Amino acid sequence: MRVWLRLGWREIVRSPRFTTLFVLNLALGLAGFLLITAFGGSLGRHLDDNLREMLGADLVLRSSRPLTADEQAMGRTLAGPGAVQAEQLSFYSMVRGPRLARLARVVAVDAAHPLYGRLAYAGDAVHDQVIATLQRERTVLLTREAARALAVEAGETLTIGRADYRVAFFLERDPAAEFSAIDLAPKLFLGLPQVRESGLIRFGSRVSYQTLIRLPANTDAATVAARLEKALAAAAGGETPVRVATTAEVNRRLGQVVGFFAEFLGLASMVSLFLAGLAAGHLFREQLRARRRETAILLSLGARRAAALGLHTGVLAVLGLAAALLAILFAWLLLPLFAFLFRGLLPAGLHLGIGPMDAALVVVVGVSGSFLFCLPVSLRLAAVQPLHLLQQTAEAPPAQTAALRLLPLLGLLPALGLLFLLASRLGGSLFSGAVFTGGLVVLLGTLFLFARLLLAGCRLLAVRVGLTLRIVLRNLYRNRLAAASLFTALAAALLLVALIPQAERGLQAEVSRPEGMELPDLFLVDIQPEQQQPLADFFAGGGPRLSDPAPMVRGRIVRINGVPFADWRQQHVDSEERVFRRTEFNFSSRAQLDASETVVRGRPLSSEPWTGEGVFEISMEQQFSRRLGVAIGDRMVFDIQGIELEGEVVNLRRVRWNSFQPNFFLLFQRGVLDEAPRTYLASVSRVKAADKVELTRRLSAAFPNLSVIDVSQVVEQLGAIAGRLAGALRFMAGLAMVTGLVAVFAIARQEALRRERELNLLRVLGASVGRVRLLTMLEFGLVGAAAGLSAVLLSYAASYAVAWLLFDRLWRFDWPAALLLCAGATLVCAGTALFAADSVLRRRPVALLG
Amino acid sequence: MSAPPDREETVLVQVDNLGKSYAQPDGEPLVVLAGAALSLAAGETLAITGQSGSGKSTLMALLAGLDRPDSGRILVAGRDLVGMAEAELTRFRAGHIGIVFQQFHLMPHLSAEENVSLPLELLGRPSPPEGIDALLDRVGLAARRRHLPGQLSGGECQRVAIARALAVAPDLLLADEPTGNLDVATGRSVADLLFHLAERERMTMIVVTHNEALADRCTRRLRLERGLLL
Repeated sequence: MRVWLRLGWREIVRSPRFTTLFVLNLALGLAGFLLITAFGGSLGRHLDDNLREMLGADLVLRSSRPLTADEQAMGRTLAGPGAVQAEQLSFYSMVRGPRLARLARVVAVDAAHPLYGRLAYAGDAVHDQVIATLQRERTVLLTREAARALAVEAGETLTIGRADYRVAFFLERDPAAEFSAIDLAPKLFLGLPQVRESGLIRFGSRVSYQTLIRLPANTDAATVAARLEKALAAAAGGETPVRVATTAEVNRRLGQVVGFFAEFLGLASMVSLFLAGLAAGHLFREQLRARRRETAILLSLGARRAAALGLHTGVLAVLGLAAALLAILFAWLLLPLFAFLFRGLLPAGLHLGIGPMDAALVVVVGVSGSFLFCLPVSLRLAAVQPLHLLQQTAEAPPAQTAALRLLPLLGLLPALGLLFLLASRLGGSLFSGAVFTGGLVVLLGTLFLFARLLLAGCRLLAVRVGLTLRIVLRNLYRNRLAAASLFTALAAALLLVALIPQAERGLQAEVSRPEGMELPDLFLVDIQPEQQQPLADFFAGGGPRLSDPAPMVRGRIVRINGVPFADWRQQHVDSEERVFRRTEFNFSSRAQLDASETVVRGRPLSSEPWTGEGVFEISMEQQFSRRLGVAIGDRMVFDIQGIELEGEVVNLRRVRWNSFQPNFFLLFQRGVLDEAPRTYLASVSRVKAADKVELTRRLSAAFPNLSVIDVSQVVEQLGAIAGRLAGALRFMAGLAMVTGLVAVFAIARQEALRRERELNLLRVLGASVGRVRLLTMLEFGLVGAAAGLSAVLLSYAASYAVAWLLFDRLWRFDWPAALLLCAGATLVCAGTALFAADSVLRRRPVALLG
Repeated sequence: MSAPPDREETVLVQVDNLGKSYAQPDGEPLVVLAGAALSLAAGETLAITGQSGSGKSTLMALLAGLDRPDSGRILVAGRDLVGMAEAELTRFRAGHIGIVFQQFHLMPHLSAEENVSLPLELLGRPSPPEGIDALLDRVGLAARRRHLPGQLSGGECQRVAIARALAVAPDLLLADEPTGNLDVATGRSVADLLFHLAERERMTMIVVTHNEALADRCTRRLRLERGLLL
């Protein structure tokens, strides 16, 4: 045993360049993977530990109308003795301070608040005193950040609706704060008895009524929730507007917000890991000749074949372990950067760290990955015969059968299997893992075949050009495998680098400037019918322009094609679709479509108003129809204020939601909603930036019930979030680029060593060092240029397809960026190859001919 | 042709009717050995000569148990190499056959003394330092025992290889063109060392060579021609 350990140790230390490069390369690939794993793990742990505090309860009953006494009693009974309840309601409203008016989220709480967690107050304020004061007086409690957003200080008043509230207390820590930057309206707390004074709890107001329940210890929340849902549904005769939420559901929802993006980042890190593995295989291949000889010597001396091969496996395992440990160090150093990139998107108090399971996983991946990615080379070692020592050449005879020739390719399958498992874990499902792995194989296979085509072209071109280029093209063609591998690795890395800025640009452009449309500056909600004319008068006289107010009526979907909605949902709708969990929807009608809408299938709605006879016509948004499983010709029955009405879907619309115009999933034929109670939505455009604050304040004073959403601020915040997310993506792409470059280095060096006799002969025959360097640079530079061009074309094709599918064809070809990428790829590839081959090029020709 | 051993002498190596051929792209097999046979007594040295491509290396590989014949029998120290399973053959070779290669084939990252002790360690036998030192001393490299092969000359590397081959005290020593990669003077001194040690240890040795002077130093000589040992 000792002899094997000694041999293994000597293998590692005698090749410091190989060992360092191998470990460093693999560590970079693993670091990206670990960053995402640690990020997801930290988020998961934080949510698990803090969910009750964030939710404020074990269970929450939510409805858009006040819970009835029976419903509340049901909650108390099923929660069991010892359960504690608290009541709460929340809504969005304009809030006017001494300096500005702004949309805020108002949360009215009762004396039992909070059921979990402790609120921390600024100054000497004591919890019982604060809560009692809120119930007793018209006071508000808010964080300092919210106060800054509302430009209000302690002791000043905020006007909410028609009542004034004094800013009495400041909150240092709100455990229920979910994601600090995504919540676009500052939050403030009132006492529940005081909220009615505002006059904002009225018909048409979108208020969320909540009953929070703290269950007795050791009670299973999921079981109680299920019983409650059943009881509420039974009491309502089938469909209840009351939803029951548990911490598990909230966990899933919160996780989805960042989790989706983390999954995407994770898959990007997989590309980096794959490229690192590819480079590792090439680096190990450089050692193949020496290792083959040594294996043959050991076999000739009487070593068992399993032991001789185990030596190399052990060395790879040790290198993989070293890489994993280094990756843990890298990730630990880079995690704060990640936290910075995602700031504002993460729950307050989240600490990003590497858990023991994350570290253990990376060690397993490092050790196994090191072996698996080098397997195609290791298989060649397995075929070594000591007989070869008696032959004049150190090379093994060529493979005799097709099976043997395929062996290196088949040797890649276990590595792909590892990638599949990791991608499935990161993507959250076997399906996403299969899609990623399959997609990667297809992409790499396509690039490889494309490279072979290009190289075949080199052969044809070689006869037509001068000596230098002829040598270069001939080298490329005759070393097709190495050149194609180089091209594939580089193009894959460049593709990621090229895609991300395009995606970011497309997203930014789409959000801030929907093509052909004027983005409004303000969006008005909760306009009462009697306010239409006064509002029109308010905006009369030039300056800011008010759009035609769009009516909004709330109602329920009762049946689709005769099937009760609850049953239809179970049969046709994905259980993850949140929008269909609610029972109430918003409907509207209009004389003609807005500029942001286009009928894509079916016929336009009739211009004649519905007479009340027969079924009326419905226009449905196309994504909504797909998710609901409804098609043209389907019949739907609605309940609007207790009256059932039946309509038929006659067309599907595409809606540009990013236009921020009043748009709806369901539009009815004119005349259907004329008698229904309604509110209105409208947008305001052409507001000068300098006038916005004053305009908002005046609007709020004139129409206290109105909610005014600053669209440009929303766009700016979305843009900022998109920018930050793109930053994280760019980081991952950068990692992929680095690992791609290591692959370039490894292949270039391998080629230089393999062809050192040829290079030496050129010099012996009179070629200067400069000329030989030029040949090297041209050869690899051409590959780099081809890879860069391919990556640019592929990335633009992909981003065009995405823009066409998702962003209504908003797409531009960025010439400067494309040229920069191609030029950069050429120079970097040529430079790296020159650096890799330098030690061979600098040797004296005589030494090499020995 | 040299005389075979008398019946009273112990026969260490017995080769009968050895055949070996290789498949060719055109389907017609290339016959390298067609019934070669030899018999070697303990303590004898045998030179096998022949032109390039006559099959000397093939014969060497078969005698060393590095390859399998298509037909025939190879007995070394009473054991039939052809009938052995791979693992058994490897073990037998490790303990009973020493090989000196033309290209030395030392482990580049092991020192001279480590290269010499390697076969013993692979066999699991104790390798006391004094034993290794004695071997290196016998080949004149005691002072270079800590040097790596890259720090030794060709002749010195071949001496280390000889010491390694002798470390297990093999029954049979096989030398494949032991001076082929050396200049004339160095080759002569290595050959002197090889034969001196063989004589001193009463080693049974087979030398494959096209060097006539080296072949003349052996007690017997056979020529490989048209697949037969003549």
